[in-house]
Amino acid sequence: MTDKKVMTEQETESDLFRENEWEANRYVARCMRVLSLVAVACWILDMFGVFIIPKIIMNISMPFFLVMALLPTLFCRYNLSSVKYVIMCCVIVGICVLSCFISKHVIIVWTLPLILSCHYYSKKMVRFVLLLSEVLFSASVYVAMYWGEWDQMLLDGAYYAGERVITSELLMDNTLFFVLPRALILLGIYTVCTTIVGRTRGLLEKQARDSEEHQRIRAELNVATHIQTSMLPCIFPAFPNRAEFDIYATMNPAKEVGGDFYDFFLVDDNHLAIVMADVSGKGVPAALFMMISKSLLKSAVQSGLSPDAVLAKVNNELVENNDAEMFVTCWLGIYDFASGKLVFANAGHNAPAVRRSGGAFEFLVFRPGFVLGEMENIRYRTGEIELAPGDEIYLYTDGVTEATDENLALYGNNRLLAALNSAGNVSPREICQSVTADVERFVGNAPQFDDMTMLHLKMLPKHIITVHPTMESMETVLAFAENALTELGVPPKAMVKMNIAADEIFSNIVRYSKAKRADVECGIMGGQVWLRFTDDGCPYDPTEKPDPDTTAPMDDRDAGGMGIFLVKNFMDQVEYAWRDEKNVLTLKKRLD
Amino acid sequence: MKVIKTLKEDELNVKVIGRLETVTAPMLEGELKNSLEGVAALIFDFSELEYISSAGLRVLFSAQKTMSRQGKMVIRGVNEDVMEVFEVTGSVDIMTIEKG
Repeated sequence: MTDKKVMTEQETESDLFRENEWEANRYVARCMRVLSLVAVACWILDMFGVFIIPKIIMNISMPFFLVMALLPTLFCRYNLSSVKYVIMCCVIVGICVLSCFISKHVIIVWTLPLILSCHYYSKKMVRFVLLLSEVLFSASVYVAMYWGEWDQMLLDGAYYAGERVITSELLMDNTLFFVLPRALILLGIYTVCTTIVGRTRGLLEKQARDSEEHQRIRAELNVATHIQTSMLPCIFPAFPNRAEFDIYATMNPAKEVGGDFYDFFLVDDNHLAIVMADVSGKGVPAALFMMISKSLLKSAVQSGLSPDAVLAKVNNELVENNDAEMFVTCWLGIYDFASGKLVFANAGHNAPAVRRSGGAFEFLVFRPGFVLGEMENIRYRTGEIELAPGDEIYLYTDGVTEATDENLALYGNNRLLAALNSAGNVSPREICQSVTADVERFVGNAPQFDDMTMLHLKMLPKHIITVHPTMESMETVLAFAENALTELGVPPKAMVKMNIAADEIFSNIVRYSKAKRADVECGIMGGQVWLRFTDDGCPYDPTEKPDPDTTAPMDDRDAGGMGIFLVKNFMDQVEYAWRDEKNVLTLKKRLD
Repeated sequence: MKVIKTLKEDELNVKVIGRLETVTAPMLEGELKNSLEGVAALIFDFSELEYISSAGLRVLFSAQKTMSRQGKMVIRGVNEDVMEVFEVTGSVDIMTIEKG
């Protein structure tokens, strides 16, 4: 793990500097092109006598310099690590040639290679350039003495009747007074250059490390988001075996992780707990507090306490170690399937919206208690409402009602009620989706400021009939199924198939099961309509019956087995179970 | 369900209105039982038949067996839902069925 990490760091580093090398090569080439233009200008001016440098000297030195100055442009196309040395060699050799012939004019240009080499952010490179500059430029002084343009400073007293006489004394003088001081100046510039290079390199490396650190934090936040969302129940339909209710919930955090949460779980076969909560603040601190609150709430509910006692207990537990002084608002309800009652308690949370079957959504007004986590020993009150089949309840956090548009207008309670009511009699998932869509439409391009979380619980309308299965009851059962399915909003196309299926299955029960009692139920769940037959007759699993041969000639045909075959074809799922000494056959069909 | 029978010489026209299912199939069976004697062509008019279940198929199969011996049988005016049942059960291969 560590090895791998170190390797990655080295890679990004070298990647970083290799890319810079490529840019520096191009930069040097550009500088040399500019310099060659200047040289050409001087050459031309000299030709026209503006400068008085002997033409022969210009005609020899200029072409050579121009070649050296333009070669980097050629080499900089190659992305090899050795190219930078070749390029710097060209620069130094080019300047060296000028220095040999027009020494006194180019002395300042001696510093150029060192300055250019700084762009590589490499001390090794600067050292290399210094070494080459020192050697070649110093040598150029001696060459200039013999063959270069007449330089009074270098050749002071060496003029005898038109001929240069270079004495050993002159050589010594020039070495002492020109070569050495210039070499030392280059050395001085070199120290400045290496400092610049070292500091820049350090900064770049730090930047690379920081961005890597930043990426690591981002990656960890992604994992945190995943952990947080996966902690909330998020597989729907959540209870495929429970026909009496349908539930859906979503959390949409404003940042990577949020402080909102919902929860729902069966305390036992007969009790369903629903939780909606909002931790103060946002981001990582809120998310951590949320995790604790969620666990405490769930374990308190599972210990069998009533909602008010749960909130009181969790409040004290949260206050105990709450150094960050955060708090949670929470609405907790526990539904009893036997009594059809929802008992609830509220710790400073928004009032949920409730709709009675066939009515409109209204807020469930109930004086809330104090928030959780702020003060010890708070008492909460328990409220109670009845949720009959067909009734529904919508829980949410203030991220929904306090969503703001670009003009800072609030979405508000009225818009929420309107959105809920206009959604119509649809599944919890569709209600949540249509409210979310409405809020998003309202918010427009304004940024999402707060987490947005909602939960919808719908007690499904119950359609059940119990009969003594005889041919006489057949019509009653079929009429019941047809009415119930129509009421559930099953479209005509699917209706015909449900009718046929009901006819086939129930006629089988009547004819063969010897049952004394049969229940027929139906409902809609998770986009599927279901029809269930429960009878106390002899065990019989129709799904195991082999399919009839639908290609046999007429004389071998028998309509037996055709019924189940039709049902299997027309339904999406046919499930059989032998439960409590009863045949339970469930047919399901998707409504697309 | 309602059954309207019209006999023209040796051609029997049977119009079935409503649903042909477990409860109603015996009615059609009864109507056909004593009417097929001497009939050379049995024409079912299903233009007003809503749907059919396997109990209805059983009656049609039995009529087809009888008619194969003494003439022909044609089913006319079949709607989409009924056609689907005929197709799924392979009935289209053994009976003469015309879509409506």
